[in-house]
Amino acid sequence: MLEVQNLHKSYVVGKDTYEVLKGVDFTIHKGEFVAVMGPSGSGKTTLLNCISCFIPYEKGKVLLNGKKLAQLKEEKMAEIRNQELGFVFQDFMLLDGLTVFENVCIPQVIEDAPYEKMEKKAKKLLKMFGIWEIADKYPAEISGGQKQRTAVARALMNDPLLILADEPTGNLDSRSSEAVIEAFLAAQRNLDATIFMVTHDSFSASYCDRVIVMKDGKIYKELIRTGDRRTFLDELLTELKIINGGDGDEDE
Amino acid sequence: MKMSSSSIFLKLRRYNKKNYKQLLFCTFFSIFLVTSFVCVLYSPVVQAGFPEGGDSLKMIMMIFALAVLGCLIFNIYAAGLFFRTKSRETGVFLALGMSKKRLKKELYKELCLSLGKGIISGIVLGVVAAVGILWILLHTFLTDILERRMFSAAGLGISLFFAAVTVLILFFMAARYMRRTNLMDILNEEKKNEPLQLVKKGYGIAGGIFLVVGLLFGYAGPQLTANLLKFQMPAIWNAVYLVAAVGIYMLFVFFIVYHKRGKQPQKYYHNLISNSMMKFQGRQTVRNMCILAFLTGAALYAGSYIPDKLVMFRTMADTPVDFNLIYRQTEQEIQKEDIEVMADEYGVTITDYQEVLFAELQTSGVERDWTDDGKLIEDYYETYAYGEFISASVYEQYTGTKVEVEPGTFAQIILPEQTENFWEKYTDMDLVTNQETGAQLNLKFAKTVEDRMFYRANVHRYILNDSDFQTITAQMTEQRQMKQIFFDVEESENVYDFAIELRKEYVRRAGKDMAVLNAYNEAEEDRAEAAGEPYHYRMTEPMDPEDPYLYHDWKFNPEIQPIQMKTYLHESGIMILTFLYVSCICLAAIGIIAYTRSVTIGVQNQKMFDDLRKLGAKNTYIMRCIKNQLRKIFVLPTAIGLFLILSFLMIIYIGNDKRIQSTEWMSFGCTVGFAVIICIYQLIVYRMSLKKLREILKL
Repeated sequence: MLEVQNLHKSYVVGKDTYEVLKGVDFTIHKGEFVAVMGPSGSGKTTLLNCISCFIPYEKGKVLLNGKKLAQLKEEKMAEIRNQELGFVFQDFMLLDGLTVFENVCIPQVIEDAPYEKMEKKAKKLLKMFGIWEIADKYPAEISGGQKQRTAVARALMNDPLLILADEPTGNLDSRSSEAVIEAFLAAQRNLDATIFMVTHDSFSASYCDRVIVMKDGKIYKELIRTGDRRTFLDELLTELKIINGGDGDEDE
Repeated sequence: MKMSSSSIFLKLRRYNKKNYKQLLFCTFFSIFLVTSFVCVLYSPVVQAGFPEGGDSLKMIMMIFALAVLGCLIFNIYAAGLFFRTKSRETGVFLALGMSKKRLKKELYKELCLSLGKGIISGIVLGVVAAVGILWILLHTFLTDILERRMFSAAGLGISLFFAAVTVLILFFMAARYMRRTNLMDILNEEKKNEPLQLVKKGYGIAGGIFLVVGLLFGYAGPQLTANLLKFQMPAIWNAVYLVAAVGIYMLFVFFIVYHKRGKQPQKYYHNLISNSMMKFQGRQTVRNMCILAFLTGAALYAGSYIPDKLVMFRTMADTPVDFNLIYRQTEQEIQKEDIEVMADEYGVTITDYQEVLFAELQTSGVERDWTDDGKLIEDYYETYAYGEFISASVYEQYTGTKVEVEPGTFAQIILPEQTENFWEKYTDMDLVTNQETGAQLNLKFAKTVEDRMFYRANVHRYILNDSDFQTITAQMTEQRQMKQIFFDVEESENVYDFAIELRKEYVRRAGKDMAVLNAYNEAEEDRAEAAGEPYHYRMTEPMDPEDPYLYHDWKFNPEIQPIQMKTYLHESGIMILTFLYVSCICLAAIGIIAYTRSVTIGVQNQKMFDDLRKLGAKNTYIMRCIKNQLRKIFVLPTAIGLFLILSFLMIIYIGNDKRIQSTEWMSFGCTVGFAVIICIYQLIVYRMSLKKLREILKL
């Protein structure tokens, strides 16, 4: 469903050029929950931003259901973002002036969808993620975990092909993180959602079906969950410890 | 309510109404200031008060151009802040799939709405304010002015042009804002940093030197080369002032970036966080500080004209005599009896009436000019001009002051504290000629005598030793005798009407030899005639006794204090208001830019302050960080802008005559007072900014 082929991306700072992605290749299938992990500076977030075409890249291809995203015109890309992609950001990116309910509705508001269907869908998602009670509250009045679950609900509003999440638990405590991951799992289970998540958090990543480990702009290893979550977590921690030279600075 | 994108945008607009209000206010305020100003300035009533092509109008236009620039700058800043605070919203909509085209349309609609409201209300209220100001002028300073039309299309046209330029610039900014392709940049716009490169101590010292050298050499350079090397610097020399501008930029960079542990480690660590925060937004901060310094200077410079005008008014009010008329003896001019009859008619009592005769002689002199390649030409003429002479004893008789003048020497009558200038030296005159007899007398400059009563602005006057005077003026006819009449009047309500009538009668009786302009020089006319060249300093039109502005150019204009005071009040009243207005515009721009910058600091560093809190920083610590940054933004540009103008004024005062006159000290003192007012204003804006930051950061 999502194919990334030989992706290259550099940043120019003054006279220096830093190559952040050095030919990344991978595929994500429908209904998969995939995480990308790796040390700081390994290119995780840049990879996510390139996939979502938030930033341009120099070389390579990003194909969503066979469509080359980078070649799409502005209008078409907007349509793809609205219909086929869903985004969850580390700092939630909710609009402070709108209620939780209204924030969740935005993707359908943008396409001028009939409101009955929209409200029904928003209500369903809010209930699914346990935030229906706060539907009329404003972002400033709710907790971080609730904000992120609102963002997840918003991302799912148009039944996207793929949800792209950038450190969705990065700003949350462990309890809230668990609630957000539960929301992703519920989406995967109930809506057959495909999720691609960049994270530092091994605990969150241990819920995924597959973890892509990046180092120095390249894919270092792919770990597939075969057994239970606890075993997968241990496996992840061991791998990250090796990458970090035994420092083990990844969070559990 | 049915949820649609329009209703969502409406709700967001309501939620972010402060941003819209801020933009609306800035647009309104700038248009209001410019409209009211140009409608007043271009009003026929006010235009009639300015001499055509005069320096006052040029100066006002120059400073006004600065103020308009200030208005544009604060609009640009307000729009920049508006787009910045809107960027998160725009980024989220883009990320969620709203097309740029639609967002752009929405943004343009919102801009049209805000700008439209701002422009219409600004123009309407600007016109209302202009009418109010003109009404006040017509009923105070301009009660007897003939021109009563308040409006000219030019004023409104300029204000519409300014509005159009504002709209164009803001829409250009909006288009540029929407053209960005990197969505992450848009989302993180509010947190965007522009750090400056580190500099060493020498950079700051060099900045200080550049500032002083640029300022000093920009003004003093041409004077030094003219006086010492007899060479005129080309106009490009003015570019030296740019060195001062570079110096200011370097100083600001230094103050923002340079922080060393040095000998005060405690202080260094005390300000470590706030200094580093400023460093990371250094480029924006320095740009802001440069503009603030420039506008502070412009506000003070415009304001410095006000004390100048007031001091001049005070000097005028302090003239030794109320009425002072001068004409050639042969003219069929107004005589003592005519004046007395007229005074009786108006019920005015004349006191201390006196008449004194001056002999008119040709004087030698030096004509100075610059060649095209900057070299000084000095041509000596035996008959350079006509001067007016009086003997030492007659002078003593009228003034009670004994002036010792040795035979073969002369004393020149000057104004108190006046000094010679580059173009005319006291020693230039060394020969006098009686044009009627051809007799000549070699003379040497002996001294100057300060005397306001006998001083004439456009003709040099001299005191000679009695015997020299007798010798050179022997057989002189009335044709070369100048009569000066001076008297006072007792205060009464008819004095002004009497003065007007007297002046009209004086103009009516003036012969064609008196119809000459200020710069008229009979000797120069003779030279031009001999060379077959035209001479332009005779009046071409007959003099109009009703023309209140004849005095601007007329060589024989009578100095009648009641009229002069009132006319001066007309002109300077308008000018004072104009300069005050320009100064207000600059101050408004300063306030808005400094306030905007302060708010930006709060918005940009919000996350950092949250992080500091997580690290255990108390609100008092965070407030200290904020205050430290705000102080730099407010204090440094104000100090440098004020220092620049105050030192520039001082250089001009000294440059004029190598000393500072008592009137200049008074003006300077008032300007310092105005600088203090600017400081108080900045303190108020600082406190308002601090209050706003407390709100934003919930401190």
